[in-house]
Formats: sequence, structure tokens, C-alpha cells
Amino acid sequence: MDPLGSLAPGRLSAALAAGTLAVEVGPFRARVRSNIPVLSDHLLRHYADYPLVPSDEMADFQLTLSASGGLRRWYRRQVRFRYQAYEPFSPLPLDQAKHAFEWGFNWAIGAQAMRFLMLHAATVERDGQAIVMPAYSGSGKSTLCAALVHRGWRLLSDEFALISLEDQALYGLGRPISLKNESIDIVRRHFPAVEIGDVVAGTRKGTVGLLCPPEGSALIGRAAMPRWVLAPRYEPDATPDVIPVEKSKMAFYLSGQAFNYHILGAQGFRALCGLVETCDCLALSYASLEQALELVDRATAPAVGTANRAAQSAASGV
Amino acid sequence: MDGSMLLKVLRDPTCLQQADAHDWERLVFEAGDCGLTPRVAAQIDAAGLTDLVPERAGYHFALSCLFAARQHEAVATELKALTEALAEHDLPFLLLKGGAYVVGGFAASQGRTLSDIDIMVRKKDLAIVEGRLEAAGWIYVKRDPYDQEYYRRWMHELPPMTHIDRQSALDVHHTVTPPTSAMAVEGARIFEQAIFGGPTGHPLIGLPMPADLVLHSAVHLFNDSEFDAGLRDLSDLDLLFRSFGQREDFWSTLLARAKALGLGSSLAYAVGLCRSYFATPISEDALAGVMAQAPSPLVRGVLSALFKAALDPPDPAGERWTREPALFALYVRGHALRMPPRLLLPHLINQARRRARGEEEGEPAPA
Repeated sequence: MDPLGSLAPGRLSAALAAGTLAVEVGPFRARVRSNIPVLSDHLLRHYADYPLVPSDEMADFQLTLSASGGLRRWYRRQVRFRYQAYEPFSPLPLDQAKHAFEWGFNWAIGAQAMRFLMLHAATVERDGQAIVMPAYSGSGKSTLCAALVHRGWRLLSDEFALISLEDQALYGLGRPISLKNESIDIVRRHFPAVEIGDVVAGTRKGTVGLLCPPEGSALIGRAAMPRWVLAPRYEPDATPDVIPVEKSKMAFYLSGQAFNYHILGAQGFRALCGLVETCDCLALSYASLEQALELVDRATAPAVGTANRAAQSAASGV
Repeated sequence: MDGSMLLKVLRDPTCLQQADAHDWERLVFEAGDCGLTPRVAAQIDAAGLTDLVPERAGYHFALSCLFAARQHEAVATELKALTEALAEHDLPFLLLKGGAYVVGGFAASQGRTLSDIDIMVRKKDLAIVEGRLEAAGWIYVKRDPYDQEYYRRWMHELPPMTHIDRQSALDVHHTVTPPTSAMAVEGARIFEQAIFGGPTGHPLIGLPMPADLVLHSAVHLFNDSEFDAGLRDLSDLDLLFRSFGQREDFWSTLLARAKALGLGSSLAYAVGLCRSYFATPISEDALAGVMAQAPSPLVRGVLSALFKAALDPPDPAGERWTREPALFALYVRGHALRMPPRLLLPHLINQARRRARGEEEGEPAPA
């Protein structure tokens, strides 16, 4: 399948307008329709390597991004996102078009349960082994994820853990990492060479920006085996530490971070139990990104054996 | 609608023998938009055409069936909770619409998606029912005094409720039509003919008799102001006509009931649109009986056109220009049926103003 980047910009815009463009993002195929010029720039910047779905194959869902009509054509222009005919959120100011697309795309993926247990978690991989980082928003998951992909880890997704119901493997989506508020400056400070684009202030999530994972660092549409479940928690005055978490507790926590656990029933329960059984379950607390990176390195270093962790857990009283 | 795969498949699934990838994609999109994916999947299976389904469409079908199965399980959970809250305190109630189809095992339960449970209680019990439900954890979604007053004054149901733990939605009706409308029906008349016990498993929990179940579903579809699940609800009626129609006395009872309750016009739209969309088989005699209660050809023609514009599946290529005006016209009509004209305009203006400010529903934030 040809990559999206093989299309000339003019042909990409024409395909977006005609509804003939569909792109494969990991296990999902999205048809994208739009009459907004910035969306073709966005796709070329962030989705150039993704395969185009051949014209004789079907997509899973359709994302439409359109400029609002009526009075809004001239006054305070807005962008309207639709998943097929459904509008999961109200129109946003036109300068948030790219973010509206990314948020809408996330919403659409969250609505597909298909053959995965789907958790709200960042997922990264190194040497075929992956970390699942489940977290509530504000815990620093995306910031940590952005930092790890600049430290030799490959991005599976900053938003979703897609766990195959068949073999427990994690599937990658890639896609730009969405950073909010302070995390934009934190990542810029640590990785000055990194480009964070499309920074827009005043959205419902505050200031947002999109980080393009470094070349070759995204693992799109391929699988990795989960090895660690690590729940990060940023707190300004936290004592930096990684401590083991009881597997049952982690399973319970993960069930609260799942999009489709309640739909999958027994299958979902088995996948969740399988995940915590095969993974080291850890809780990471940190007050700075340096601490977090160091602790993740230590926790995932091949040399770290059970004895070491047992000592840690004894020290922390768990 | 000429290109709609969903309508073609619901009419005759064998058309899928000629379907290409674009047809399947359109079917998946349209069925998803209309809440009909599990029903389409069930009808494809029933027609023995499962082997035709491409792998990718199959994922969507399997997921939707799983989802519908969970929703049907949830009906049992809700019924148990409602039994404890109401029936065990000698407060009888009826299940309506989706909940009734599932519990009664009626044809329209096939691949039926449910977003809420609808029940009917006796009007005289309303205050105590409210108290019981609140004590058992159901709370009002719309706590705004304007909404509360609006429902209590003009509607045949309480403001929508949700359960605080399970987040499930509950609509509590006390009759089938708005009490101030021209087609007002005493709720007691539905209760009198209801069938208690049996499939509901409790002597104080009933299902409306089949004719009333159909009439309520028709009235609900054609007199409401919202058509989000309109095509699904029409497909329910198609399945009910097909299966109840096998019973000897169904049509004669239905016609007599429609006449007695003054609901003949809704029945006429239900029959007319079912035949037009799904080629529902209905005997000449029954049809003549329906037409005898139908509104004038002019009114019928105009409203049928509006209903079709609102019921047609959205076109994935973009909105048809007729959809929004038709939905708006039906929204105004739905309100006009229950409110006197001098109150209608202020109410609609107030609603429009609140929507513009994003008050109604509460603005969903992007995830």
C-alpha cells in the first residue's frame, strides 16, 4: 500500500474533498473528509508514512472536518468534527482545527472495540518489550511518553493501549503526541531540538501542542509484547520512587482506565488478568522528568532482577 | 436515499450478493449512525448470508452484537432494581418500547439497541414513585427548574432520570401522549388491558397488550421532536407488524384500539412508512381499516415527506439539504402538539437561547 506522503498536496486536498482518502492507522482505517486546507498540511506532516487504504477496500469509520456554515462562515469561524453523522463535541474555533481532528480521531478510536481490550494508557516499546502506562489525565503520562520516545523507546501510542484479545500483544498507532500546558515547556527544556507544532492557547484543555515523534521512532501497525505496567503519578513534592503494586490492585485500577472492559465481559477480564500476570506491575511517583526517566530506566533495565525489586518493596513497606 | 445500502439491506439482504467494498463501508457507516448495526448483522445471519460479510465489516457486526447483548443484560439488571424500588412496594408498572421488546421476547428485540428504559406508572402513583426512585438512587438529569416545570406541565413523562451508580437512563411515563395534546389518552386505559406477570416474572409488572405496544411505539415516533433513532424505531414497528400480524385477531384489535384511543393518525404513518421503507406485508383489509383512520391526503403527504427526510439514513458523503429543515419542522410540530400556541413561541425561543449558550445537555468537552 502506498504511503499517504506519496500523494502530491494538490491531490491530497482533492481526495479529502471528494471523500476518496482513507488512511490506515495501526489496526484502524479512517476515511477522512475535509474542505479545510490546513488538514492536508497536518496529514502530510504527521501521517505521511501511514498507508493509504486501496480504493477497493473499506474503511472502519469516517472523520469529517468542515468549516461551519451560516453566519459562522464570516464571524468567529469554527470547525465542526463529525464521526460519520455524529458530532461528539461542539464546533471549535477554526485555529484549533488540527487539534479537533486529533481529539476527534481519539474519540473515534475509543468507540471501536473490535478485537482489542482498549485502555487509556501511553504505550512505548524497546527491543520488542513494551511499557503500558495507564493514568488519569494530569499524571504526566503524555509528557513521560514524549520524553521516552526521545530516549530510545519507540512510540506505540500516547493515548491507547490496544491489547489483542487473541495473544495479548500490544498494537501501535503512532500519531502525534498531544502535550498540554506546562508539559510543552518541560519537553522543550529537556529536548531543545524537538519541534512542538501547532501550539494553540485558550482551548478547553488550555494550551495544547502536537509533538511529532522522531523519525523511525513510531511502531505503527506492529505488535510488541507488554512487559511492564507502570502507573505514573506526578506530584510537585513527591518522593521519587518505583514500587511494585499487587497484581490484583493493578488489574482493578486498569479496569477503571478501560474503554471497553464492560462490553467485552469475560474476554476483557481474561485479557486484563493476562496482562497483569505477564507484566511487572509498578507505580512510579516523581516530581521531575529527570527522576521519572531515571526510574523508568532502572525499572526496565535488563539487569534488574527480582531480588533488587524485593529489596525496594521491603524498603517502601509494600 | 436512493443510494442507501442500509435501506436496501433492511428490505432485502440478498442484495449484498452484489456488494463491493464501498457498499459494505456505506452499510457499516449508515447502520452505525442509525443504531441498526446489530439488527443488520442479525438479518444477514438470518438470511444465511454470513459468509458474504468481509472480515472488516464482520468486526463491526460482532462488536455491535456484543454491545446489544450487554444492553439486553442490562435490561434485566434495571428490571430487578425497579422491581425492588416499585413493585415490591405495591407500585405496579409497565415496560414500554425496547425494554418491553426484550423482556417480552418480541420480534423487535432482534438486534435492538437500547439507550434507556421506558416504564409507565399509574398517574395517581406518580409522586410516591418519584420518591421511591430517588431513594433507590435515580436522580434527575435536568435539574433546572424550567425543565422540571416543562416536563411536569406539558409532558406525559417525568423529566429523564439516571441511576447514580449505574449511569443508566430511565424515562417514567404516566401515559402515552402529552396530556394537553389533542390525542391525550388516559394512562389507566393502557393499564386496564396490560398483561401482568408472564414474561416479566412479577404480578405487578406488565407489558402493554400487543396492540397498545405498537400504538405507543408509533405515537412515540411520530409525535416526538427527536428522530435520532427514528429509523430504528420504524424498523421495530416493521418487525412487530410482521410477527404480531401472524396472530388471528391482531389487526382487528389494533384498528379498534387505535380508534378507541384516537391514535389512528400515528398508526397510519407507521403503516405507510413501514410499507414504503421495508415493504411490510399487510393485508388489503387491514390496510383499508388503517386508511379509514388516516389524516387527509394533503396532511399525510406533507408529513410523510417530512418524516422521510428525517428518517432516511444520513448520507456519508454529506448532509442532504432537506434534513435540517425537516428536523426543525418536526421539532416545532412535536412541541405544537402538546403546547397551546401562545406558550409555544416563548418556549422555543427560550430553548434556542439556552442551546446557543450551551446550557442544555451541558457542553461535551473533547476527550
